[in-house]
Amino acid sequence: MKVCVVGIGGCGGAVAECFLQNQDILGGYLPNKLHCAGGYYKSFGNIRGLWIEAAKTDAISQKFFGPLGNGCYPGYIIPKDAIIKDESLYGNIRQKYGFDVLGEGFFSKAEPLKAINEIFDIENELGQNPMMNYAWSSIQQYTTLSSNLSQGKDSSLCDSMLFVISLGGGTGTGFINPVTKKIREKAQFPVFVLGILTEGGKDQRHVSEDQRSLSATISMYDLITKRRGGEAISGLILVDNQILTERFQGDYHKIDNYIFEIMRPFLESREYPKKHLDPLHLDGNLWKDLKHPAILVPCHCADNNDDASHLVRCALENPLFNCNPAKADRAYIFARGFVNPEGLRDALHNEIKVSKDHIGVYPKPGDGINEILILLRNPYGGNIGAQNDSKSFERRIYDLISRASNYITSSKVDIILDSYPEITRNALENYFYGDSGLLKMLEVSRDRIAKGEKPGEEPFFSQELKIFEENEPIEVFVQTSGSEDEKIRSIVKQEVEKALRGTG
Amino acid sequence: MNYIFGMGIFFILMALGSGLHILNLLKTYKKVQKITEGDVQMGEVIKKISRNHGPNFTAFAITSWILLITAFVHFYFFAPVDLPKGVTYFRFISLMPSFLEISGFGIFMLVLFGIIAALFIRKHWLYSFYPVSNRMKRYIALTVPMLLVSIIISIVLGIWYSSTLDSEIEFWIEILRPVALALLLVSEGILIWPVIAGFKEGAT
Repeated sequence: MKVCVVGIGGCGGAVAECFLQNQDILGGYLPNKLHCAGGYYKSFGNIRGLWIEAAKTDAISQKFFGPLGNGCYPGYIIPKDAIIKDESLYGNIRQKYGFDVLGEGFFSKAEPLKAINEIFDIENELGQNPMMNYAWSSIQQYTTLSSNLSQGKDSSLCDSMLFVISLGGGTGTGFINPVTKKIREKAQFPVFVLGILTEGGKDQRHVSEDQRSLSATISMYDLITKRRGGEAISGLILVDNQILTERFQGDYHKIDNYIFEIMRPFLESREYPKKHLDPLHLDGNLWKDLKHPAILVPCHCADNNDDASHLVRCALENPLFNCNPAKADRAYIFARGFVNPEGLRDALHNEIKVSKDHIGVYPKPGDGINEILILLRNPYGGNIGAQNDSKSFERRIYDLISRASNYITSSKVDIILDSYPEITRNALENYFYGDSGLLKMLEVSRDRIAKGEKPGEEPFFSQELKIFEENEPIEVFVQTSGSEDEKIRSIVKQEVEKALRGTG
Repeated sequence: MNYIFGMGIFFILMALGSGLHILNLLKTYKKVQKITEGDVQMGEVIKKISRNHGPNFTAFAITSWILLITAFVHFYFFAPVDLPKGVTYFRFISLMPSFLEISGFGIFMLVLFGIIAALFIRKHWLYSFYPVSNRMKRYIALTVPMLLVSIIISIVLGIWYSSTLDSEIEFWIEILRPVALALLLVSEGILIWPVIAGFKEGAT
């Protein structure tokens, strides 16, 4: 398995920088411009990657990534650059929907980008979303889906993808769904998302925890409500920054490096003979018995000790997101070093009682130390009132949803801006406050968590929600609001499309 | 100073490095066999677990090894040592006393070992088997100037030794000889350190 790492937004970029650091000597001393001269670049596990950022000033002010368009590696892209080339497109969206697609960042709001992307889905005249096309074409060149790929297999290309985002920021939360959708609709390509849930309190930009919770909720909601096949990702790996800020006293540089360290067993591209990890096989395994993407909680341990029981116990004591490991329905162990795979399987089985058949072990060569990363699948559900346990997964998600609901309830004027045109105001009103809107759905989710429902068929978020439904803008475009004929036409159109999709 | 002792240390370190490398290979091979529960070939194991340290480091490391041999040859073949005169190639030195000619010989040695390295060092060579930290990589890169200094000292000593010695030159020879040897041995120690560390911590 060879993974590409794509950081989205400020936090995603900072973590991706740790992942993509040049492991060779002298590379760091070279001026950034030389990285753009096509020189060979060696990062851990030979992984490749890039950074997607919305704020150009942030991208220019850092030294690690260079503009990908200038041939720099590691590179960054500003997706809105694709729109600047077509000013009329920008004008159309701004005029009709009130969204500033050329804005400098999205300031911890997930809904503007979600809305913009949905506008492209419904407005056939706009064509495909140029921002996502640009992002995808930038990523694609590093993958086995590359259009430049000749008949021979290129071992340097990635066969899977890891997106790194902050769940609570604006760019990461807004971009992740449309970008992953773009990839998954192209091919069955394993896509993992490493979502870092922001810590409590106000962040560096003084955005309230409630607002960031809403942003994180929308992003997670959209990721895990996708159904198997099609656009759904392979798994959402959750890291709680609250745990890490306490452990590293708020030193973000140390936190970013630690996140890289814990992910090394997953990213290592070297494999033992006869132990090839097929990413599609892993993808299939992650989807077993599920209809929605898995939530994965990472637990990590690195030690000179090669005793499997010790490593497993040590890892389970260090989850990166609070949970009861025994609630996991499956687990995946990525190991580096010389630890016996069967020993690891037995040890984890003994610790959390998950059937041995439900534990995947993927041994890889290490770097003189033994380390394991355990990904616990859906470690929640099964007992009533688990949200009252301060160390439970349910508690953190329940709190997150509650804060998001508070923000929706108390900050309507900040969500539905006066400056938005009526079409957008109506769509947002319906999306957030409608009878089947987000606020109601979050209530249902909290109820499911409180009742201790197991994720099995449905996770805590289950019903996909859109800001702009396909039929609404068509009504607006032809200025027939209220016309029964148009409504019928729209419904018929949708049904025909569904039927056509069904027949392949 | 007894320079035969220095030569002994050089060969002991080289033998230690070679021995530990072979032990590391065998130890790793056994462990990988356990993990894979199968009949795997040593060559396949080396190929699979080899890592790429990057072209800058690889260039430095190969250069360092070539310079190490060159520095050793210069020190014991050119510089005055405690060997019988016939063994030091003293006569050979006296045939080409100019700095330019001796440097030319050094360049010839470098090119010769460079060709040997290019022919025999493959993608999966010594360091690709070991984890090498960035700090260690920088130390290994540092051996290039260290060994170059050792070689230059040996050349200068060789020229002085083949000319008439006065007391002032004798003084400088006494100062510079141990410096050249120390640079040679410290560099050798640094170059084989990843192998020793690999033995201590586990190679992969």
